[in-house]
Amino acid sequence: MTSSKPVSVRDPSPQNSPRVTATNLTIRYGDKVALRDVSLTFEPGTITAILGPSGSGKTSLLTSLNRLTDLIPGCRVDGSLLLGEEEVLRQQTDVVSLRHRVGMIFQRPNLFPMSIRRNLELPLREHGSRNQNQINEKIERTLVEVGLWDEVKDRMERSALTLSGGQQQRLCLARALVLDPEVLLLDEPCSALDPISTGVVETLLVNLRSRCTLIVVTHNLAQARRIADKSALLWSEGDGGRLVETGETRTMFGSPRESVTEAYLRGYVG
Amino acid sequence: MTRRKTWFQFLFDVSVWLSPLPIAGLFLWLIGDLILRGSGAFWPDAAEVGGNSVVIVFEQIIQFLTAAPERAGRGGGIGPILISTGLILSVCMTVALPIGLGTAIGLSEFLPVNSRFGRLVRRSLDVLSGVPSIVFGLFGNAFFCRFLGLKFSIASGGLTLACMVLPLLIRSAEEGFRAVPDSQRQAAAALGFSRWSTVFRIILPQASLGIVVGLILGTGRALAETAALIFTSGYVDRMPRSLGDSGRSLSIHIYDLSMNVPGGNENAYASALVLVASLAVINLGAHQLMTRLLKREVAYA
Repeated sequence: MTSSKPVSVRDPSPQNSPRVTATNLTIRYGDKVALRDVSLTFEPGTITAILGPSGSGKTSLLTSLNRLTDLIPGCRVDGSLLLGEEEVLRQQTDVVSLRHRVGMIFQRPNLFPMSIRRNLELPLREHGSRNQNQINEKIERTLVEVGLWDEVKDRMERSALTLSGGQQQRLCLARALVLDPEVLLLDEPCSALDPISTGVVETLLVNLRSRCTLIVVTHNLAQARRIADKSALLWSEGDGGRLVETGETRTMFGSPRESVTEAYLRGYVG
Repeated sequence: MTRRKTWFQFLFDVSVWLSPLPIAGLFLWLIGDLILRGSGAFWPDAAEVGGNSVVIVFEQIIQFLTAAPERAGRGGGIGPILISTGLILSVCMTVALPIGLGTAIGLSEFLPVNSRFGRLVRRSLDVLSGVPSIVFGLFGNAFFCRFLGLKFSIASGGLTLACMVLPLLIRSAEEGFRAVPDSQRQAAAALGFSRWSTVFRIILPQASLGIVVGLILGTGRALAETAALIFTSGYVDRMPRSLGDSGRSLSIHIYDLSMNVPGGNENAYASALVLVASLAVINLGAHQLMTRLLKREVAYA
């Protein structure tokens, strides 16, 4: 009898999702500044949309939150980034467990070219799950949650790449969710999807609010208005993105404080 | 105007279709010649005809593959030579595969893209893969046979071949690793995979095709090698008793029979046929094995 870690130890509720606090965050690629002095708080149980035109540092901000910026040669992140009480940017931070707690969905589905089951099983095994029954249960529960179970339950052993684009993105979501992340980062998760799949994913995200802190980078202003509780606008004058305005999405879209925000949200610039 | 263009196009089409012919022809000629002359050793003598000739041919083939050579290879078979060849190849691959895979993984997954060390390694590999095999032979003789005291032995031969095969193996394995898109590494990192599991669970299965190509190329080169082996594994045609014994490889046997032994032509052809057939078997086998493995791990469709 081998001892095995339980598949999930965390009670998934917003009380247990951490607040994410960025203070004076500056991100550089070599000499080029991508993000300049941004301070921003992401509250548990909410969806925060990060808005802004291309090159305003949205994705850089997002990928610094799970230290994926470590993968980019020459990238330097300064300032402070707190996940709950823990400093993410410290050298000693264990990035493996950080990324276990902070999941991420990319612009394009990036499933592994393996069976649907294997795509969900690998992350669980990687983080110490050994009991096959528990793994199977967890996989089924997660697939039900993202609304894929009925579509894939008869083809679990087939390649994940045979799924449609929308299904693949939902499977990516499931792959992140099997690990019960406390924070979920989404980098334009719907930009490669058709409107119907987009609707499905958006509904999922809104429901996920009760489980984790969600941070969504999006170009799509209508999407931000539909799903985000709070919004933040980044803007770059060519010298690195700065935070222009942040607040409740409804307030920000209804009566923006800054003229740049108003122009961007009305579609005059950007 | 249009007429001339079509005329030109016609010529172009014809030449495109015709140019592969000489190559295909050459290949068929070579194989045909080999089969015709090489199989002569297996045909029953006129006096023996009477029994089932298929059975006789089969028995003759088995006899040839297992018996020891007689009269300097003019008669008898190639049993000890096959064993020596197999042993040399095993030594070569046992050493080359782990080092080669390790280097390829280091180059593509761990070293920064433009690191000085990486460039140095790559340049050395390019130079090494262009070095004539006779030079490897002399190096092997000086280093393995004399300096390490392995003498003329299967071990020396295998190790020398490993040095020769490594650049091929590393380069094609590295290509295989690089062909895996970065989005896969990102996906694995974002899920909290350690570097180790990213490489071994995600990247390696997807890169295995390149590795197999390297393995096949390397085996082919090792099997075909004579110059590097004459100076290292020697050409004693006895059955080897250990890796420390000298042993004659199949290509050396062919070389010796056709160059130094009058009347050895028939068996030289027969041995060459065996060599080509074993190359074909290894190619097919490696391919089969990998598609099996891939089916279990990787599924694109």
